[in-house]
Amino acid sequence: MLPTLNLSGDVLLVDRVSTHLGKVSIGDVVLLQSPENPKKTVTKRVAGLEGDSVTFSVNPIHGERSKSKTLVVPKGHAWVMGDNIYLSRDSRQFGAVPYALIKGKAFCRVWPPEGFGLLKKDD
Amino acid sequence: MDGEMTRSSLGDVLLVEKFCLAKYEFSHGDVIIFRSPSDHKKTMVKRLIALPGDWIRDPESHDIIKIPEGHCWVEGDNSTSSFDSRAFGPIPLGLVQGRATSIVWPPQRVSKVERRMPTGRISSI
Repeated sequence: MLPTLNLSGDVLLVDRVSTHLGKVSIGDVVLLQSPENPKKTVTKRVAGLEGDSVTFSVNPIHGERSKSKTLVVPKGHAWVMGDNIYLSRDSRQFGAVPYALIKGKAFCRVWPPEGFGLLKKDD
Repeated sequence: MDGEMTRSSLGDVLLVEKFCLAKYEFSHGDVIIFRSPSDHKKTMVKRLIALPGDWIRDPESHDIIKIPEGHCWVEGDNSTSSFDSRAFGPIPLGLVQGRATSIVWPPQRVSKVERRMPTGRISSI
């Protein structure tokens, strides 16, 4: 999730209630149980919810020339992407993730002190 | 917490073991409780047929599918009318909430949940 979150480990405040109530919207940073390894938790940004159509470039390193794909997020799923689009394992590899894998919504960074503040919806 | 009660769609109350979630260790044929992949508010009970790395034949399309890393294949015991992996494909193991160990209600159905596998469905390579 560079550059939003640092490699050294930021401490975040996570809201676990609104995901239960289904109040996750596009642009939120979410905690997600990895679909590839259930013991791992990853942070990603929600790029689409059920019924939304998402467009993404398959290989962003090639810039404008890269192929882009559009698809519709299936029922009960979410499309998640890392902020570092060049090097992120996200829905472009493993596809849309079931909503039940979303464990919480990160909304505030508390550590390191110079980075303290609310996480913005867009960067 | 080592267990909890879950009510299945037929009205049986099940005892669910959650120790298996510490390491995500399951066996073929276990009955598992998991969140529906299409609706996070719904819980489903199905039999675990295949684990990551197994090859399984989809009875509908007759394709051989490899179960991806961190996923599993679930099927209902009533193979003719069950909404399971044959409809929605492999599910992430992260959706699993526990393993059913016994039926505790109604009294005439009190029993252990047996581990059972349909034969000839999977091949591990």
